Amino acid sequence: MRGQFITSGKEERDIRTRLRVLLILASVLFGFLLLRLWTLQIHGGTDYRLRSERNRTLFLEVKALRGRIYDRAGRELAGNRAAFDLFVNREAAGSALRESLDWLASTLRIDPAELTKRVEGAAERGREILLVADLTWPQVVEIEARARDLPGFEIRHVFVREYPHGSLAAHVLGHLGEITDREIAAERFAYRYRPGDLVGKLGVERQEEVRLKGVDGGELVEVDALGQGRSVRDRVDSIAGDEVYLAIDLDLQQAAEEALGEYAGAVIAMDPRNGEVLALVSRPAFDPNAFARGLPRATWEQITGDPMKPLQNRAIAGLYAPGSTFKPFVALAGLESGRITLASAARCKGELPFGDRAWRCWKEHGHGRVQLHRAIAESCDVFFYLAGLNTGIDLIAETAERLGLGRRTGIELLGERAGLVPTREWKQKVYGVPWVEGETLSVAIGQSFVSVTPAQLMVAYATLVNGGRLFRPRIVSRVVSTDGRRVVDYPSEQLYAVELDEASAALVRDGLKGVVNDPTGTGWRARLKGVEAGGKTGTAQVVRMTERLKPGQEESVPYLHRDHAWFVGLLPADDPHLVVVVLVEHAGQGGGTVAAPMARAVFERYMATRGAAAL
Amino acid sequence: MNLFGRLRVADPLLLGLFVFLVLFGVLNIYSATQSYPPAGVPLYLKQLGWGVLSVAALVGLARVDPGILYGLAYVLYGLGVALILLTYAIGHEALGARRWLTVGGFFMQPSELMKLFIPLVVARYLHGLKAPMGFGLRELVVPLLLIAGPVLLIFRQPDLGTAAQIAIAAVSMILMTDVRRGLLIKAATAVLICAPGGWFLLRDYQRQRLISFLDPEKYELGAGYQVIQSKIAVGSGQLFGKGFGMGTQSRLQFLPQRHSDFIYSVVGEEWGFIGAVLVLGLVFLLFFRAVRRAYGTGNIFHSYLVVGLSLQFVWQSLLNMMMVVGLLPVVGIPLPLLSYGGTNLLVMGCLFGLMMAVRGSTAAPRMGAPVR
Repeated sequence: MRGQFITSGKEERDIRTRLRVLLILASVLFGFLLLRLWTLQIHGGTDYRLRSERNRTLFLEVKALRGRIYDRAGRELAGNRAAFDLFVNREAAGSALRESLDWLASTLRIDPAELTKRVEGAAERGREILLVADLTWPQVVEIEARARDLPGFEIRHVFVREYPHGSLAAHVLGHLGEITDREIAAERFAYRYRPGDLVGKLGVERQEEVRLKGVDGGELVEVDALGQGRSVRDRVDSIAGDEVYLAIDLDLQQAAEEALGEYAGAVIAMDPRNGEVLALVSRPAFDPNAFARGLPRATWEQITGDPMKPLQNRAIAGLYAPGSTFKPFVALAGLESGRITLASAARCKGELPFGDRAWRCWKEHGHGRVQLHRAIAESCDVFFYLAGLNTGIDLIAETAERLGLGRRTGIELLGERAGLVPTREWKQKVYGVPWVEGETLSVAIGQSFVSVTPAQLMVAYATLVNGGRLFRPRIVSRVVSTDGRRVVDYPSEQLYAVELDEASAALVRDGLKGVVNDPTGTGWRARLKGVEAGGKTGTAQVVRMTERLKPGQEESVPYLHRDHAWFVGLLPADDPHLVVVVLVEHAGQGGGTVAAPMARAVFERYMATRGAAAL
Repeated sequence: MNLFGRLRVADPLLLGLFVFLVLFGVLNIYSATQSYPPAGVPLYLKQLGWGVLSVAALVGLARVDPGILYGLAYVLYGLGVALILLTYAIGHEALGARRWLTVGGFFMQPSELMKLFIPLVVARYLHGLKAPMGFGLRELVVPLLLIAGPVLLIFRQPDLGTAAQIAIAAVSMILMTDVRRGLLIKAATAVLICAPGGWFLLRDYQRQRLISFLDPEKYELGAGYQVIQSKIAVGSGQLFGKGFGMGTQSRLQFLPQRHSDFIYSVVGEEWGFIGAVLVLGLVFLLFFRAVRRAYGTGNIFHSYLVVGLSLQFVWQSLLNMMMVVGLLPVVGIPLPLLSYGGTNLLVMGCLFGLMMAVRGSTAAPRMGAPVR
C-alpha cells in the first residue's frame, strides 16, 4: 500500500468522534421509523385494518385524453370523440338489479339475456361494469329521466379514440387493443396501466404509446351503507397525452389511397432528400375505429382469418419479386465495374437462347439492337440477361445490398421484413447446391430468389438518385406536449453514406428519365405536362407461364397466379423531391399499364398542393 | 481448504445477516406475486438466482486486497460514468426514462454502480490531502465535483430517486471526513436557502409526487394513491400481521410495484409490527456492524471507504422505508437486499464484499473493537 497515509493519533480520534455522531444521528432516524411503525400498526392498526377490509370507497378512473396524431400540416389523423357509456355496480344495484335490467333491455332494445350475461360475466366485485357503450342522446335522456329508479346504474361521459378518415393510413396509425397481462408486467408500462386499459398494438399508436398515453386521473367516491348516495370525496385531474406529428402529407396520402382503388397492394412515397415518408398505403386495409373500444372476439377472428391479411402492412412486410424495377441496379453494377459500358449493345429477337432453353423478352418480336439507355427505357430483358451474365451475380448482389436491398430499412413500424438478395454462398448454404448461371439471368430481371418490400425499393431508388445518402424512412417528425412546452423533434437519420460512381449513376438516371419521357418508354403513362418525371416499370411473375398471353386473356388467369405490377416514380427526374413506389398485387397487367398511372396521380397531387414551381 | 473455509469471511455475522435478509425478501416477493404472477420464470426464483450471485460476489470481493481498489479507484469511477453516458446513447427506454442497458437479455442500471464507485473515488482523493486545519471548501471542490457529475447525469435520465439517494449518501460521507466545523455550519445554512431552487429542476411528474406527498388525501388517485395504499397495508398489519400470503392489500393489487419498491409494505402487512421492526433492526445492525469496521483500521482510506459504502446502504434503506410508511415522497428507490431487482442486489453484494475486504493494514481485523 504505497503512498497511503497511516492515520495519526489525532485523526484517528477525530474520525471516531464523527462516527459516533453518525451512529447517534442514524439511531434518531431509525427511531423515527420505529415510532412511525408504532403509530401506523399499533396505534392506528385497528382503523387501517378496517379500511383495508371494508373498502367502501371506489376509485373511478378518469382516463387521460389520448394524444392526437396529426399529419405534417397539423391536420388531425387520430383524435378523440365524446361518448356516453352506461355503467353498473352490482353491489350498489342490490335487489333492484333484475327489474332495472329488464326495463333497460326493453328501452334500449337489447336482448335481456345478453345484458344479464354482461353483468354476471364480470369477475371482479365492487368494480364498475361497462354495460352499454355509446348510448345515443335520446337513450341518455330516457335513462336519466328514470335515474331514481335505477340504483347502481350510472351514465358516464368518456372519450373514445376516433380516426376521422376511417381506414386512411390505417397501417401507419395502427390500432388500439386491450392490454395483455404480459404488457402490464412490462417495465415500460410500470405504474400506469390496469387490466382492461387500451394500448396501441400496431403502427404509430404502438410506437409512441408511452407518449400518447398521458397520465390517468380519477375520482374518489364514497358509497354509503345502503350502497347509494355516493359523494365525490376528491378528484385528481388527468394529464393529456402528447401530440404526435407525422411526416405524412394528408393530400398525398389521399391521392395514393384513391389511386390504388380497390386493388390489393401498396403505395409508399418518400422525400429522398431527408427520408420523410409522405404517404403509405397498404391494401386491403382495416378501419381502426373498429378497434377503438376493444374488439369483439368474432370480429377479431374474422380479421385475422381473412386470407387477404388486412392487418399486414404490405409496404414494409410484403415480399415480392422486384421484376424489372431491379434492372437499374444491374445496370449500375455493370457500369461501375466496367463489365458493361454505354456502348454495350445487345440484339434482341424476343428471346435469348441460353443453356437448354430460350429466355424470353417481354416484347415478343424483340427490340432489335439495344443499348443501355433504351434497354432501361423500354425494359429489354435480353439486354439485361447479357448484362447480368457479363457482370455476374457477385457484383449484382453487392450493388443491390449496398443500396439497402435485402435488409430492413429501419422504418419505425412493427413487422418489417428483410427480403433477400441471393448470393452464391446463400444458395450453397440453403439449398446445398452451387449457383448456376441461368439463375443469374433470372436475377438480372428481378425474378427467382430476389425479393424486396416496397419500402426497401423506395429507399434503394432514393439512395440512387440523391447521391448515395441512405436514410432511415421516418414516419414521426415531432412530439409536442399538450401545453406546448416540451417538444421532441425526430431528426432525419442518414444510416449510410453509400459510395456510388457518379458517372455510372447519372447514366442509369438518364435511363429512368427515358422510361417516362421517351416516346417508346414503358412508363409513358406517368408522363406529366411541364415537368419531367422519371421512373421504372416492373412486372413480377408469380408463377412461370409457358405460353404468352394474348391481349384480353389476362382475366382467364386465376387471381393468385396473375402478375404483380410495379412502378417506381421519381419527381422530378433530375434531383427528385419525391420517390413513389406503387405495387399492385396480382394486377394481371404490366406495371406500365396499371401502376404508372397511379404514381402519376400522386405526382399530380404533389404539384397541385405544393405548386410546380416548388420542384 | 474445505468448503467452509472458502466461505469464511472477515465478519460471519455480517454475511449471515445479509443472507437472511435476502432470503426474507425472496419469501415476500413470492407472496406479493402469487396471485397475479407475470409470465415467464417466477420472480422469486429469479431473485433467488440473483441472491446467489450476490453472495458469491460478496465472498469473492471480500478477498480482494484493498490496495488494488486504491489503485483502480479512478479507472472504476470513469468506467461507471461512461456506462451512464451509454444509457443516453443506447439505453433501454421505459416510461420516458433511459436508465437501463440491455446486457445479454438482462436489464442493468449503471447508476447503481455509482453507489460503489463514488465512495471509492472520494475516499481515494481525500485520504491523501494534507490539511492541518481540516478540509475547507478548496479541498472539497474536487470531491464535490466528482459526486455532482454522475449525480446530474442520473438525474437527467431522469431518475430522481437514485440521484438524490446517491447524493445524500455521498455528501454525508464527506461530512464524516476531516471537514472544518465552521464549514459544516455554513453548508447547512446554504442548503436551507437553496432547497426551494431545486423545485424548478424537477419534472412535472416528480413535482406531482412531491405535492402528493405533502397532501396525500387530496391526491389519493394519482401519486398519493400509492402512499395511501401503502400506509393502509402497513397499518392493517397490526402487531402480528395478517400472516404469510394473506395480505389483502397486496393480493388485490391495491399496491403498485409491491414486489419491488413497496416490498416493505408487504412485510408490514403480512408480518405486522414484529416483522417490520425485525427488518428495521437488522438493517440497523448491518449498518452498525459496518461502521464499527471503520474504527481502528489505522488507515484513513479504509475508514473513509467503509463509511462511504455503509452510508450508501443505509440511506437507500432509510429513504425506501420512509417512503413506504409515508414519511417521504414516492421516488422509486428499492429496499436493499429485499426488493425485487437484480442490479441492486448484485451491487449490494459487491458493496458488502468491498467493506469486508478492508481488514486494516496494520492489524488483524478487530471485530467489535473497543471504541476507546
